[in-house]
Amino acid sequence: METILNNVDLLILSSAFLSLIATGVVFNIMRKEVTPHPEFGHMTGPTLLLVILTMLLFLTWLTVAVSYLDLGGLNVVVAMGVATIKGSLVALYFMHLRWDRPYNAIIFVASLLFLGVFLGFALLDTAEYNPSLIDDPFLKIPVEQYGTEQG
Amino acid sequence: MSGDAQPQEANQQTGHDDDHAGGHEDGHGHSPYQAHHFDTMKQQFEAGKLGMWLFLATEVLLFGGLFCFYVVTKSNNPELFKWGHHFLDKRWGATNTMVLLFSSLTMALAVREAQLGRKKRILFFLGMTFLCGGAFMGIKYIEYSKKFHEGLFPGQYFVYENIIDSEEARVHQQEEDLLAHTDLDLPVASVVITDPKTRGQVLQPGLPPSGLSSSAREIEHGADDEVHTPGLVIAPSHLPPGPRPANAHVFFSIYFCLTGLHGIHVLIGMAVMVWLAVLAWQGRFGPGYFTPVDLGGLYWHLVDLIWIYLFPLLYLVE
Repeated sequence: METILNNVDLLILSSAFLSLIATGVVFNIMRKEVTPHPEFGHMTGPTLLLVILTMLLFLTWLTVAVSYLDLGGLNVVVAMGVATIKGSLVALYFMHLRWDRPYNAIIFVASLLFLGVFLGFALLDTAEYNPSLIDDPFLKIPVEQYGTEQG
Repeated sequence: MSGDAQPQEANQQTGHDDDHAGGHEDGHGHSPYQAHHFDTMKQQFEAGKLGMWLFLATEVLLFGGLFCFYVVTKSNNPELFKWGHHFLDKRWGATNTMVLLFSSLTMALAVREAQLGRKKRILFFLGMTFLCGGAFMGIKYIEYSKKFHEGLFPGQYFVYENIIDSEEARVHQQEEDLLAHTDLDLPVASVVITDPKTRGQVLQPGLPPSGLSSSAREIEHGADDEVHTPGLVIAPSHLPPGPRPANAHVFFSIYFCLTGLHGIHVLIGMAVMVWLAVLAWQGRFGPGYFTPVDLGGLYWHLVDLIWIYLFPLLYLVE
């Protein structure tokens, strides 16, 4: 815990607080607003948007804080998990996917699935190849030395 | 075209009648923004949004190629990322994340105001989004210029090694760190005082005698260090803790490809903000027509979404 408190920089905290103050000012102006039901599309209330932003800022703080701790292999899992939660919040609420007809979400999720297929197949056999079959033309490193640092 | 005019008009007429029969017409005729191949504004809006999502899917796959570059390189050279990671300042990265998240909020509010048709507020929130995009690019400029200054260019332009003797500087820094962290309760040995080649350590009370250092050779050549250190371009505290991998330039190829493509998207997004502001200035948006703002917002949120993944991948994960 002390590691976190000592290392999370003032810059991060101050930018978070600045954006919260700015949103506070904006929402103070807009607090009495009623969100009507539009003819089409979905209108999101300012309060909900502020809640989502606060959660996103908190998750950003969390993922930076966790990066100062050494959790071994868990670091990647936590960083990617938090990024996925943040991405879902942005897609569901800022991008209105939660209220849209499902077609848009299907297209988006399908693109992510195909990205997964792409990455998965690329990773399947990548360890089976030499890093390079020709000498590095820029650094003049022979092929044998190229991967010597690998663990 | 002139020959088609007659049937088109007729079609529009029948379209009107259909709408009235279906009860979907809101009572004040066609919106001037409705294209004649759509029955209602709602249908036009949803078709536009579907098309935008298709475009966003291609954007995801465009970045997907670079993500693949990242993932494959990382799985083959984990030590490369352990090394290169130290050149990226996660404080700037986190600040940029928050700037983009905040700009996403202002963009969502701009969409809301467009739906309500309040011109001044649309312009205000679009302006805020534009400024946040500018702040993001400003921070990127600071980060990039630091890298260029240090010779950390992508691919064949990588000249980090040529600017400074990085390996020597690293060893030197490790010495300094070791000395700084050694037990300060040790008495100042007289050996230090009698040895003139100890880089002024005599003046700092509490430092251990040079004999306690892990590398006596380094201390003995203290005079040489004085020659080397002024040539150091990088702040020593930013030097990575390990030796430079032979393929170090690959890390910066990945870094500049990913952040560069994302930066281009932010610039395009800022141009879209200007375009939307011009449309809003002309008073075009209202409850019946806000599609451009909504789609511009979707694009801006996607740029934000991609940065949400880029930030931990490049700055946080070792």
